[in-house]
Amino acid sequence: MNGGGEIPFDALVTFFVLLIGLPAVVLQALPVETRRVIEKRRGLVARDLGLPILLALVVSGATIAVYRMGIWSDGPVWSTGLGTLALICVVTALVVPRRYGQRDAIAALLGREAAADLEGTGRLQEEALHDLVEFGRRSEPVREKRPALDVMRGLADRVCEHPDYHGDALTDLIDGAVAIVLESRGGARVQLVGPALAVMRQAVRAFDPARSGHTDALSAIHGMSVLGIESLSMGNPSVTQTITQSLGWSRGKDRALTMSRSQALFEVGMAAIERGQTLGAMKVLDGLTSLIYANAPVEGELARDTIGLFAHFWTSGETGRQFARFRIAQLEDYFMRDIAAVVDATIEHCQLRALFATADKVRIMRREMQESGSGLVEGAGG
Amino acid sequence: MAPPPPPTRPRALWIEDGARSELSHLSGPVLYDGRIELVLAEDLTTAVDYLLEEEFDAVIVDVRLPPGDDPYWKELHRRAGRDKVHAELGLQLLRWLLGGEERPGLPARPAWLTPKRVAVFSVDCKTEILDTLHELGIEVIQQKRADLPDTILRELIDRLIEARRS
Repeated sequence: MNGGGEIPFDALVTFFVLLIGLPAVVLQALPVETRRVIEKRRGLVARDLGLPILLALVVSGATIAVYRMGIWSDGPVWSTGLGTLALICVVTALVVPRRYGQRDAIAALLGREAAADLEGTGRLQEEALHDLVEFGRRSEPVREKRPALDVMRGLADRVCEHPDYHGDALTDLIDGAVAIVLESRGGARVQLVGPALAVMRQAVRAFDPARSGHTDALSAIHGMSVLGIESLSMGNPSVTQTITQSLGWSRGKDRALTMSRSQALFEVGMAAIERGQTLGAMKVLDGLTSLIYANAPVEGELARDTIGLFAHFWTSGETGRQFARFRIAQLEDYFMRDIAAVVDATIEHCQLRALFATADKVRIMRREMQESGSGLVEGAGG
Repeated sequence: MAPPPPPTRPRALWIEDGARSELSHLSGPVLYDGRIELVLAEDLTTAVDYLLEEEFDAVIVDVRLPPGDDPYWKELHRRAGRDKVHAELGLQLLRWLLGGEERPGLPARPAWLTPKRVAVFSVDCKTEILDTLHELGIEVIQQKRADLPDTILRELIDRLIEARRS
């Protein structure tokens, strides 16, 4: 009876082969971007995969010891021991693919790493954040990029809520979110704009000139501009609408960002007209109009960008000209200087910024407005 | 001498997930004349964010809406079999906003929002839905049909703004 049989080494070896082989197979089958993340975290992987092997060794040792002591009969000893080993194998088989085979788990892992020092410093760990961005960029197909962006969005929220946040901790996160969208292909990339835009909106929303710098907010506005232009090729006008309304959504404390918002809107609007996406350009003009209402009477960048965009409408055809004329009449009272002076300033400004094409269009608009007696007087700009 | 410029222009929030196909012909007239600032929200989470952030003169709501990322709306959507037609989340939103229902998990309701500022613009206008909307005090209800003019969105917004002025 006790110790009368032989130790079932075959069964024990089989379990150990499973415990070592299964994770090895899973890790080998992972996509390149996931393997890249895991390879950089060998300690973590060794801990996760070593634990079940260690546990199995302990169970095997204990079973053999009990068997040799002859306390119980062979049957129950080996059923209990081998059953426990089988359970360890099953749990490992369930946990390893979940932990390393799913992108949301990897993204969450990188997010936790990136936020490891957040509580104390209010900043994200650069290397983990870089890995998270790379992971998002390289994940395919497009829907698999979403987990990285969702984690980035959560990180942005947490950084902005930190009491030591001073408006300069999110540029890498923002640039990364933009890069993930830009490097996506196909119609599904529209789904990535929402979470990427949420990161940027959060940076702008958290902007408070009384307690923080401009860095993150300006990066976010630049990112929105880049995404706005990119959205023109996504075949979904509501995406452009969502981005431009975020750019034109200027409220109270973020007036200091008006100039940047205005520039960003102008760039999107110009690109929209060049690509024949008139509705997108109209939405951009609506964003500029919102900024004008919020800051009236206006001068400087906002006034010049608005006139510049009007010139693009004006030169796009007869209907564009009518539309521009109608909207200029609606807005001219909101400019600090008379419209002729703003037009001249716009020409000069465009020349200096090397926006020669826009400068030419403003000249055409000025000439035609003068010819049609729209009230423009000869100015100094050209 | 021109009259002094108004300090603001009316603001309208259009909560509509089908905007992708309807944006061009429905929002075009609003954008063309420039009198109204039109803000689009394509899901409930985004809509609630806007409603909590800013006051709108007109809120146009569809009945069939996706939840967005907020766990509360996602859960309601899940319970309805992840089907926005059955979930009727637009109606749920209005019940929360105007019906005085306390909903744990949601923030405080925007106090400025009254039924007079809300219009429902949806393909779904079953009797039960209409009854609920009337109970909530919503008077401007427009069913989406193929024969509507392109200016319908602008007209709905104008009706809400006019109703408030009168």
